[in-house]
Amino acid sequence: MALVSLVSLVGFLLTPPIIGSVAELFGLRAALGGLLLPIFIVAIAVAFTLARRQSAPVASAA
Amino acid sequence: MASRLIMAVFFVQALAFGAWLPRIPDIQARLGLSAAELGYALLGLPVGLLLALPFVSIIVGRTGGRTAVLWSLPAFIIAICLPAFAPNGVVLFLALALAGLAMSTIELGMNIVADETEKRDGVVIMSRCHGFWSLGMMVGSLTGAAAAHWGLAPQVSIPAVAVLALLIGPAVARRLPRDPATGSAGSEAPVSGLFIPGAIMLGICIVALASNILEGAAADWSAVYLRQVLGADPGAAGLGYAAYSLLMAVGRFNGDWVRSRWGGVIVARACYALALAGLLLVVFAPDYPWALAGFALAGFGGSVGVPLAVSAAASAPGTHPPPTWRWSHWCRWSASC
Repeated sequence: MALVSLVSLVGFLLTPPIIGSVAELFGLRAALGGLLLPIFIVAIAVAFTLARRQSAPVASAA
Repeated sequence: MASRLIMAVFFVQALAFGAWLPRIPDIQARLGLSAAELGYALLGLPVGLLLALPFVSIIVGRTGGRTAVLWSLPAFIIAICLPAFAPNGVVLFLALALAGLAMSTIELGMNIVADETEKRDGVVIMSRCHGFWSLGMMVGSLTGAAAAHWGLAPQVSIPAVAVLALLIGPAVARRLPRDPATGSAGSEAPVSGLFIPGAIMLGICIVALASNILEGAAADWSAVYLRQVLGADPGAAGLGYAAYSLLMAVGRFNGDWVRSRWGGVIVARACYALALAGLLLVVFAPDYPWALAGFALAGFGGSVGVPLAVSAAASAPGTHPPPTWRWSHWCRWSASC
């Protein structure tokens, strides 16, 4: 849990300068799309994988 | 009664904080900051939060949650007014860092009081407390947006909301139940040592990271995006984060019920899909209404992401028992922020 908390804080910490710097180069729309969309797609893929792993033992037990 | 009081404290703290966010583009314009310079100045708040983290945990552990709320709530409300008066980017960074220091204490204190209330009264209020936090952010953002629409300077609008918060907040906080005798928290074993996280834990971290990045981006950049990219007027630009907060509050108020009915897995899938759809709407929005709808959808989708990740982390195989109450409160705090 502590690790999750720490990673969350790091994300919160790094978001403003990274988006600002990328926006300076490519514009704010590209910065939001180019940074947030890939991160979110990866997160969704991970969430689905985790859900499958967690539900697999339940299914086999059933 | 104590439940309502602590929910009111959550609301008031967020009200003061929310009034600052829609005014970021005004302060950027006044100081003549580029997007990158603004980004580095905004880094002040999380830097202050992170610097305070180890000390605040110890101090609040000794003083108790109610005492921490009593002195840090007015301190935060005053500190969040300071960025509006910053003459340049460096001072803006420092002012935000100061607000971050105070914010770390009030966030931790509020969560401790909420947790103690749950244990003492046998009620489940944490999710609703964070729902009221999101509601306070929405109302604060709306007042900021209205002030921007009417051409009120941030140096007027943010302190005006702060005065209201100062009139209500400390009066409510004083009526909170007294802290239980200290020592019980300190008697828990401290966290020590490092561990290599497994694949599941790393995955949960990625999920939590994505939710927090979305939240940080919406808070800091929604008003700037709506104003500079989509040409919204100052008042309308502030509605982006208000819409995000409103739907986030709706999601959190109903999160426990929905999760108990359909289970965490389905809720996580649905919410992340909604958040992605909202994000796509924001990024590819041809005009303002589409982006506003996108922020609202992203807020709803992101509302339960971190709470679910924290719950999953707590129940992941190989996870130690909750290390200390301090860390668990920080987890809950990051879920709310």
